[in-house]
Amino acid sequence: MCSDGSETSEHAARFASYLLKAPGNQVTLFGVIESEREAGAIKHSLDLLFARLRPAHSEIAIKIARGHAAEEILKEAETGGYDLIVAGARGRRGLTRFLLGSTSSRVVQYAPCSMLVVKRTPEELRRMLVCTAGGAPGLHDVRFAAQVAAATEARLTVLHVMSQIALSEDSDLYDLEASAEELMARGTREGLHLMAALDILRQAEVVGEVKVRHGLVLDEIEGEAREGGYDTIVVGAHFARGVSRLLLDNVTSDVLEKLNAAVLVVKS
Amino acid sequence: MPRLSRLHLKKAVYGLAGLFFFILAIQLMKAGARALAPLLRETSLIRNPLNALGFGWLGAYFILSGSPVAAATLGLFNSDAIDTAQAFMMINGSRMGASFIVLFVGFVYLLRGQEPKRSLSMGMVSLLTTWTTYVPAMLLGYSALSNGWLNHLHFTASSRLASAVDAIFDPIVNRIITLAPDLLVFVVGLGVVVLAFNLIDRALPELNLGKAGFGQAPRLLYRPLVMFVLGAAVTSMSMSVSVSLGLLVPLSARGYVRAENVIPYIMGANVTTFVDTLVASMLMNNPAAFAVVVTEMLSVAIVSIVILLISYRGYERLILGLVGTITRSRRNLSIFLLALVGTPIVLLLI
Repeated sequence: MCSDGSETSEHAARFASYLLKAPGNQVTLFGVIESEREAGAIKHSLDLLFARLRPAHSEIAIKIARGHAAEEILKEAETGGYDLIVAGARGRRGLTRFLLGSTSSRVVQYAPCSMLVVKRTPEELRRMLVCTAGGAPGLHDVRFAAQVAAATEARLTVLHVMSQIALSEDSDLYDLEASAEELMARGTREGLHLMAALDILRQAEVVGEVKVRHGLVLDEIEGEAREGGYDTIVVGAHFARGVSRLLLDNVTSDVLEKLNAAVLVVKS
Repeated sequence: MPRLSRLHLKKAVYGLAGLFFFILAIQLMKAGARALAPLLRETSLIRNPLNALGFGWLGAYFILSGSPVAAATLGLFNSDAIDTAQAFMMINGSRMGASFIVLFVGFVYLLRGQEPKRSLSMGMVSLLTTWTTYVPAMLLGYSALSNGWLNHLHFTASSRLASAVDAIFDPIVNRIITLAPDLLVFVVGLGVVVLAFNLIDRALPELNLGKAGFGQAPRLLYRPLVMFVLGAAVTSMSMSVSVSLGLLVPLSARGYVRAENVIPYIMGANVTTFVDTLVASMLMNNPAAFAVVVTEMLSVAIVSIVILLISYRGYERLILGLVGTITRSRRNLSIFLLALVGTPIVLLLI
């Protein structure tokens, strides 16, 4: 659990406590001091978090590092063998963001494990939205989200966005307007994927549903997040490697940047 | 002879014949425009840049292609029948008219009873992407030409190549001039350039991009700049936006691609679709004509890249929102089609 002494770190810690309901979780509170001016605030913040989490968790450690926030978090994540990194997204703005990049985006991209980025904290964790692009990586994300939903008794919605448009008069137009139920009934590629997602929810004994929206991917995820009142958005961090990384768009970073919600980024 | 080799040979013959007729057409239009220039000046058919825009636009409608009109524009410019600004706007008009052709094909399917979204989506996205980038590009290019920003550009075919072209084509052109009245030579040139583009189309290889590593294109989201470069590269080979859009079809067996991918692809295609006009300007051996075409390409490229880098998400929403509004009802579609035909006519009358 990373803290920079800011209010968003407090939010992140409070939100993480929803996920850490199960006993036996080991928690490390990690602070990075980028400049000496912040040192006092960060230490104070870590002490407060320790006091808050102590009653529920017996194994809590505090660690402090000095240096660039993203680099230090990544170093700790590499050596610590963590399952999840939790951080608040205070977010750099303007020129600083342009020059140094967003800490959370950088950590999400290079971390060896999944990461929860919190911007605001809801009263409780009741509704989760998992966005899937299809295929095995998408089902992996659904499985991860289902585990969290099962532990927190949250309701889970699986969302797939279709932004395709017809290229020719031979295009199978029906798919471009069909609902999740219709796609599943027709056994299309997307329909089969959603059926597999529903199976995962059933096996995890999680209450949930599958949805399909049509439109631009980022807009539709934003729209569903807004309309559905979700507490957490789950997306995969299937960052491409090599040449593909230069070619493919980074939807995860866009979701992190645009959505004013807690975002759980699942690493495959 | 194996079937594959026969196919390659056939395509090579089409390609060489296309190239031959393309150069012949340029020479014919150069010669014909000299006779046409005084008539154009007397009749004041092309009076100002807006009027030239409408002329090029309607010309593309009639020929169902923009490239022959752009080549003919260079012929008129070379003979001083039109000035730099008029040539620039007429070439712009030819591209704006050409973007209608993709939509026109869809419109034919619509008349046959297909749903508007199926028949018109792609053509409409292509047309609106072209218009929304070409209008600001037109203003930028017009300023560049008016201020002489690219006047230092001097690039023509080498003198050795020019001599070779003259040696081969002058006898043919002179023969046609003796057979046809002066004014008809330009029209013959226009006909020959249409034939040339037809032959070049047949010579193009059938690219299967699906086998070239883009097989998952319908599912994946590519970076806008990547699709922009891909659209530009493919179109510089096919020299036609509609052909390069057609090349996207094999990417998806289901006949559709992601909107996020196709819009920057069209933007890239809109830049290199001028490659044939650029070659024509070099064959004219006229540095000013070359500067006009380069200005055209640069201004479209600059506007497209600025959109991609600064406001691409909003631009995507705008284009798809407009497509949605126009195809929502037959009334909206009719109004739009009326505007498509009416606008160049109004421009022509200015």
